Amino acid sequence: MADQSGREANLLSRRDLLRYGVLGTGAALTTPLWSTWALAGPAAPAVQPKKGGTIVIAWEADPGVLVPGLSTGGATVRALVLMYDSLVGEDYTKPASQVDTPPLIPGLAERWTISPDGLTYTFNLRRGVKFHDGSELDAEAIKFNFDRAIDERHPFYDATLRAINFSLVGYRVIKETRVIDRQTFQLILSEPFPSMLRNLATLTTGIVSPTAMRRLGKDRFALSPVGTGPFKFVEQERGVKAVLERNPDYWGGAPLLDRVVIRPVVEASSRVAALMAGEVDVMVVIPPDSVHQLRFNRSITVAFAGPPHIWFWMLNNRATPTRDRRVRQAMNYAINREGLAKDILRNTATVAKGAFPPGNPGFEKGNTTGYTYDPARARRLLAEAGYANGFEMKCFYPASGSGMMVPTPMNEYIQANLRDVGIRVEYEVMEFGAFIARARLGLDDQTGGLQTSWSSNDPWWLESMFYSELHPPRGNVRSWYKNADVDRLLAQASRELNDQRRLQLYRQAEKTIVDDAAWLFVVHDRSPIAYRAKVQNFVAPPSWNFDLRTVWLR
Amino acid sequence: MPVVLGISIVVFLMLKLVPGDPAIALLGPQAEPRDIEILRRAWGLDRPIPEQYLTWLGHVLRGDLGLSLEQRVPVVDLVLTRFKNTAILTLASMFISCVLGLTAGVVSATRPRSIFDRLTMVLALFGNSMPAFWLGLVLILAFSLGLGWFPVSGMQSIRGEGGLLDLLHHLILPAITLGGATTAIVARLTRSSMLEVIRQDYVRTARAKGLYERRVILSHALRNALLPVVTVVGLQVGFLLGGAILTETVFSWPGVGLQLFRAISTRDIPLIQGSVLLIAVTFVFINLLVDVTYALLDPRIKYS
Repeated sequence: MADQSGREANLLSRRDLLRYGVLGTGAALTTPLWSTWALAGPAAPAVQPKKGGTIVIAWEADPGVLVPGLSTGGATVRALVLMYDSLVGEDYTKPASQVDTPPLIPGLAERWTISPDGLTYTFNLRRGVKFHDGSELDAEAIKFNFDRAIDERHPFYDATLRAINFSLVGYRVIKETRVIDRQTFQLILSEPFPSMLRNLATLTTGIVSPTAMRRLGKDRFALSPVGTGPFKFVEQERGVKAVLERNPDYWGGAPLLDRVVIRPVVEASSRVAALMAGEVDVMVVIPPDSVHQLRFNRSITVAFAGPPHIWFWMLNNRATPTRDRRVRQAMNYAINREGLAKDILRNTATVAKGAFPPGNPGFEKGNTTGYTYDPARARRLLAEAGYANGFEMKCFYPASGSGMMVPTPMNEYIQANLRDVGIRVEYEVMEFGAFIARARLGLDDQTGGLQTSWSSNDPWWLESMFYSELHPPRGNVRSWYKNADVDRLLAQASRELNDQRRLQLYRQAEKTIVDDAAWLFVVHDRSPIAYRAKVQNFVAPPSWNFDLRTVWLR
Repeated sequence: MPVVLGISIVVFLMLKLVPGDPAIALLGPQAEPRDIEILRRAWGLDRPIPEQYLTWLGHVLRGDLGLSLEQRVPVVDLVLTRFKNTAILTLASMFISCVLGLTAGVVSATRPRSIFDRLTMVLALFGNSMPAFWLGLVLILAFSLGLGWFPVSGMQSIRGEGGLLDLLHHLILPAITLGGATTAIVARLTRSSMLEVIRQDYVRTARAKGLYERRVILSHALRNALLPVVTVVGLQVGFLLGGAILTETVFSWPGVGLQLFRAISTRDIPLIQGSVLLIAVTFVFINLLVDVTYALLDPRIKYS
C-alpha cells in the first residue's frame, strides 16, 4: 500500500515527459512541482507519531559486512549505527542547524570517569541491557570485544578489527582491559589520549555479543550479526538489501518503525529515480544537479547533514615550486570557491577556510578568515616568488570514492582558475585503490599536489595531517609539511587533558597552517539527504550517520 | 581446462602488478603502515607470489574458493548468487535479441531495399550506437517515471511478495537495455547472411520445385544463414555475462559485473579470482555449445 501511494505522488505527466524529452547522461530526472527545502531537519510532527511500517533507504553502496570494526566504509558504518552501541555514543537527534558536532552521550556505559593522569578510564555499564540474542551485557562482554582487537592470543582475535581500531580509534594506546565487577569496566592506557572518548563513539568500536560469536564462530558471525542496538539484523542479500527490525527491548526506547530495509543503489541517477518513483523512502548522497531538481518536488524534502568533511589538495611542501609559501598562498587566492560551490556543486557545499571541517570541535564559525578569491593578488605573489609567467605542475586524484563528491568537474574548475593566474595543471586520474597506494608514499618531487577528501570529528586529526614526525612512511603527512611552531603546538595539544585548552592549541596550530597555505583548502560537503513526505521526524545531524529511532511513517 | 588455468594465472598476476593491495584498500587512506603490514601478514599477502597462487589453486581444487576479504562471506556463495542473477538478465536479453533480431533480419532480407528494410537497418544502427547507460536512463524516464509501468531498479519488489511475475516485471527494462546492441548485431548479420544464401542455387532450385516461399526461407535459407549468427550469438552471451556491468549499475541489478567491479576496487583477490573463474568456465562451455550447434545446423560438420 505504501508503495502505491508513493508511486502515485510521483509519476511524471506526459507533458513533463515531453518537456524533458531525452535526457543527458545521468541528468534531469525531475518533476517541476513545488518544494520542501529543509536546511537540516524536519518541521515538528503535526500529528501523533505512528508505530509500524517499513522504511526503505537507498544507500550509495552495499553496506557489506555488518560487523563493527571490519570496514571503514561510510555505507557500512551508517548501517552499524542502527544495529550496535558503543560504550559512549554520539547524539544524532540534533539537526545540523542546532549543533556543530553531535554531542557525546552515554552509550552502553551509563557514566564514566577519567583518572587525573588521563590513563585510566572507568566505565559504569548500564544495567539490564540485552543483546539481540537475549544474552546479557556485562563487563566481561565489553572486555571480550576489546581483547579480540588488541590481544593476538585471544581465540576470537581478528587482524582486520585490530588494524582498523589501531589506525582509526587509537586502540594502540590501550595497555590493559580490566573487569572490576559485573557492571564496571576499565581501560588502562599507556599514554594519555584525550581523543579516546570521541573515538570510542565511532561505530568501528560497536559491541557484539560474545555468546553469538562463540556459537557461530568468527567468520559465520558476519552472516547473523548480533548487537545491542535499536534494530536487529534479520537478513542480508549482498548487493540487494539488508533488512533490520525493531528491537522492542532497546534500552533507549524501542523504535517506532517495524523494519528498515537498506537497499544499495550504486548509480546516483537511479537512486534519484527510485526515490521519485516511491520505490525508496529516503536516499543518501545526492548528485548536485539532482539536489536542485528534487527541491521542486512537493513530495520530497531535502535536508543537509553537514558532516565533518573537507575536500582539498595536499600541496607538495618539499619540492619546487610549491615549497615556496608564496606560491601556495597564490594558489589559494586563485581559487573561486564560491563559484565552485554555486556553479558546480549547486550549493551542496560550503567554502573551506581552514583545515578543520564544520562538525569538528576544532572548527570555529567565522574565526578563520581563510583565502578569498583574488587572482590579482595571486599573480603578485607568484611574481614575488619568481614565477611571473606561471609554471606547470602535476596533480593526481581518484576518479571516485567516498567523500570525493564530483572530483572531475571540480578539479577542472580549479584547473581553469589556476590557469587564469598562469599555473598550468596536468592531472592524473586514478582508480581509488591505486590512488591510495600512491598517495601513502607521499608526494614525489615531480608532483605538486594530490586531491583527496577527509572526514574527522576529532581535532587530533590535525596532528595526523600536519605533524612532521608523521611524514611517510611513519604517517600520513603526505604533503611533507613541516613547521616547528605547529609541531610544538600539536605536541602540547596531544598531552593536554583539558578539552578547552587543547582546542585552543589546535586552533592556534590551524591558524599557522592556514597562513602557510599548507594545502589548497577547497570546500566542505553539506551531504544532502532526501526523503519522501511520508517520512516523519527525520533528522539530518552533522554526521554521515543518522538515528531512526524516532522516525515514523505517515 | 588449460584456458581456465591460464586465465586464473593471468588475472592473479595482473592483480599483483596493479598498484594497491586489499589491506590498503580496506583500511583506507588514513591507515598507518604498521597496521597495513599486520593485515597483509594475516591474509598471507607477504608470502611469495607463486606460493600465494598455489595456495589458492590448492583450495580451489578441493572445491573451496575461499572467503571474501572484504565481505567475510564464502566466495562461492557470493559468486553463484550473483552469477545466477546475471545469467537471468543475459538470457532474457538474448531471448529478446534473437526473437527481434532474427525476425527483423529475415524480413529485411526477403524485402531488400524496401521501406521496412531501410527502417530496420536504421534502427539497428541506432541500437548498435546507443550506450547501455544512456538507453537505460531513457527507458527509466519514459516507462518507470513517466508511465509508471515498470519499476526503476532492483530485481524484486522490496515491499512485495516477490515471485516469478515480479521478477519478469523487473527484468523487462534491463533486458531491453542490455539486448539493444545485440539485437542490432543479430538483425544486421542475419540480413546479410540471408541475402547471401538466398542467391544460392539450391534456394533457386527449391523455389523451382514449387515449394512455398515460407518453407524456402525458413527451412532452406535460414538454416544455412544461421551459422555465422550462432557464432556471434555465442560470443555475445559470453561477452554479456561479464560485460553487463553498465546495465546492472543503472538498474541496480545485483549481478556478477557490479560485484566484480567492487571487488576490483577493494582488491578482494579471492572474490575477483572466483568471479573470473566462473565467467571463464562459462565462456568455455558456451563455445563448446556453439560448436555442437554447428553440427546440428549443418550435417556436413561432424566432430570425431
